[in-house]
Amino acid sequence: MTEANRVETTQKIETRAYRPGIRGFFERVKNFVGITEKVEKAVENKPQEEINRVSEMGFFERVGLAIDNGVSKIKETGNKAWNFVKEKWSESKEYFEERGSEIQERREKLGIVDTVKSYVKDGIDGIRSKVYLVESAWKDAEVKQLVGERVKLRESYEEAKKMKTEGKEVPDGYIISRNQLREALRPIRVAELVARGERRELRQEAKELTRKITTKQNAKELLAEAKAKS
Amino acid sequence: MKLREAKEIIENSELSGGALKRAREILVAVGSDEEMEISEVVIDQLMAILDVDIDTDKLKLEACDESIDLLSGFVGEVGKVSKLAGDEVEKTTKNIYNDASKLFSEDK
Repeated sequence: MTEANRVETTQKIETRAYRPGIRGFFERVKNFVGITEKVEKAVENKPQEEINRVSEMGFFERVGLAIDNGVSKIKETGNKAWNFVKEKWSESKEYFEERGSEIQERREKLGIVDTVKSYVKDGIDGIRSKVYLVESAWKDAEVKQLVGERVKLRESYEEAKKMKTEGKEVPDGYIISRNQLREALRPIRVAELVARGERRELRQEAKELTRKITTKQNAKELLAEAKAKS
Repeated sequence: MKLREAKEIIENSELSGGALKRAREILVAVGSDEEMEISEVVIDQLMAILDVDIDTDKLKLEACDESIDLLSGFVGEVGKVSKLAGDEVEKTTKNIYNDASKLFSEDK
């Protein structure tokens, strides 16, 4: 694949993947909060039995379930996506190690003394470790934050539900808020941004490597021409 | 090819540190007369150094491309799953809204 094609392809991926993504989700969340507030306001003076008749399952339970399901879907599919990345990444480890050793050996035979002990391996490891950085962000999102936020939301619902059952008025803050929803999803956004940042750096590095390869190939051609003439 | 020309090519070839050092050593060993012709053996040595440096960069480029592809897949999947989660929330809110609408219309 040529450099021009490669860049074009990756740009297409980015555009296609981003539009229906997290930004779209926040738009829905905004809409959701708007509706939630509207419904709360509309039903505030209605008799309890009338509200129950309309919603068999109960308002809080339904909202809670929707969020639970939404978060679960993010977690499950996100994990699946990450595991796929990790699996593919591990599969190629051996290939890079073998090819790297061959090239390092050739460098040594030519009398090249690199400034670092294993110039090729270190270079490859440095590039590949960028994927590893994303893993940390994803694990942080998945374990520390996403699960924690979900628990907080659940607790909030459970308390509100209990208050409703006991016939108490549910105070502000127990009802789902835009901030709670945003907080629950923020770690996913962070993991996504880390992945985008690392990918941006890798693209820059690929561009630089391509430029260097071209320069070296041109130099080699000049030497080959001189050799042919001599 | 004159020694001067070979030096110019090598200095502008963007060789890595160790490879550039080795290429300079080879050219220094040729002699000090910048106008003297260098031998085919020297040219072959320089080309071999360039070759191995090109292969090094190509392998690094492969690693970059692989990581870019994998990260693109991850970003795409995260976007897709967020949409699924959004759909889930949207579906429920629509149902709640419909139920509430029913309640409003019954009141009228």
